[in-house]
Amino acid sequence: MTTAFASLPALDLQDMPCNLRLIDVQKHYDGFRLGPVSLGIPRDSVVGLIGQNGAGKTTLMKGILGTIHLNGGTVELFGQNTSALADTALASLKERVGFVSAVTSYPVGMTVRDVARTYELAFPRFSRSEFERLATQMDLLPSAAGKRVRDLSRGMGMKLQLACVLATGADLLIMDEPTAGLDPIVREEVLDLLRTWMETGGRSILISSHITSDLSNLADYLALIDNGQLVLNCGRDDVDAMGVAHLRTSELETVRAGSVAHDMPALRHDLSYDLLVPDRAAFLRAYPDYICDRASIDDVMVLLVKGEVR
Amino acid sequence: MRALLYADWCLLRNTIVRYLGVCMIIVIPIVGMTNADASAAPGVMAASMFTAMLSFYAMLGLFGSDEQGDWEQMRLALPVTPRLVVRERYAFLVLTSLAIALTGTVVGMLTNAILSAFAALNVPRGVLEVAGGALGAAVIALAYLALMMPYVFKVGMTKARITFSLPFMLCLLLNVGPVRDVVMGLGNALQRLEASLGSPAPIFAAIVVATAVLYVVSMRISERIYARRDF
Repeated sequence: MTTAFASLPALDLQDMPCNLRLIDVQKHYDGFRLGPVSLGIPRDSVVGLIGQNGAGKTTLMKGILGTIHLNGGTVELFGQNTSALADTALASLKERVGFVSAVTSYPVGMTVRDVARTYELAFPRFSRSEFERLATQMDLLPSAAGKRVRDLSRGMGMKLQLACVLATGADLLIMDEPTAGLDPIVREEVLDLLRTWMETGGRSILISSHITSDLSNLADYLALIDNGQLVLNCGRDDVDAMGVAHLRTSELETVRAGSVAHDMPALRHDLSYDLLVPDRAAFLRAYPDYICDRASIDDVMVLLVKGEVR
Repeated sequence: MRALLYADWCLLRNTIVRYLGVCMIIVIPIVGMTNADASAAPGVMAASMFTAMLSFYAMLGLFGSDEQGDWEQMRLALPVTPRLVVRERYAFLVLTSLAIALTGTVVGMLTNAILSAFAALNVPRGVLEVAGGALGAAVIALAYLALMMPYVFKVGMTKARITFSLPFMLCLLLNVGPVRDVVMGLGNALQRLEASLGSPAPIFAAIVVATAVLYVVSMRISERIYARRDF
């Protein structure tokens, strides 16, 4: 796959086994166009999906889950084109996919017990004992077993979703901002659960989040979507290697004339520019007198979305 | 399918007891006050009113719950397809209507017993007539739901809510002279047909078959409509 910036690392997953592969996926709404997006979720890895509100992250996830109809492209789940499958085959394939919504999306009158039973009936590989273990570990059981969804806090609702989904026996999790609105303690519990879940081989997670520190600790790959387009898709190591150079106008001109970061976006401040650098070490070798800090995921996102090229 | 049936049962269970109470409170006194006459078969009247009302309430509650908290979207993320969601809902409503008709029969018999005890009426006690009234109402309710459900699946319950007031408006319309005459004419024609056949069973069977066909056609249309919707 290619990104909008030639100097940025581009991920080639052609030969890697992927639990989910999107090929030129497109969705058009009035005033918004997603794609074409091509993206792979390799086996045994976590892909973090980042981007501004309204960038197209949730739309992409809905396209994967089939809750919206794509205008073009292919969704391959475990190597099978979902649009070419008959109903029964598609339903069977979806038994291997778990979805965690940003909000607790169960009917408000259902109890915790009802929700778990619904999952148990829906997913043949659902493990009741695993659900009970997880729910107990997250203080959901036994106290909240009879609680209705409407009476659950946001954190409790998220724990319920996680306990259900992690017990389904799924091999792929699609998670739409699962940590949003959670306090740091619950957030850390959630991330720990996901790390533990990933210890079993063959699994993958596609997770979107605005809390990029969560992704720093969890994601193996990052994909940035802006205005419906995939702007960046690379490994965590590639992001770790990036830098933010703090340059004056004349210094920026010099860098622009060179070859290390000539086509990279820069964000103007009052007296200086922040320039995204694809390889901080190479940059400092080429320009030893310039200041270049490590780039966080936030830096990368802000510069790629808001920065200007030349 | 089993998961969806169970989820629907959970949704219905939360409201059905309340609706059941409300319907009994409304139906028994109304029938008692307006039809406290043995010849008007109050038990049959109560059973059919109760069944029709509760069938509509059940559907209203079910489709309304779908739109709570993005459940429609979450439901499609389970190992199901839109077609399966539609089929399950149609199946669930048939099962529900039959269960409500059974309860309606009990309510009808209860009405007869109450009127016999308190109004000293010698009302007919035949459970078959009362059950027939309840079942007839269930079939009519299902026929109406069959006409309405494709629209509900297309636009969702919030926008389709207006369609639920149509049966009640139709009841009001029956009091308008020309409409009442047409309905009475139909009723008389059916009575003549029954007399010529010697039994109401063939007529009832034909209505059941016609409703079943309508219901299946409606389901097919809803499947197509729902498969095209975005959530």
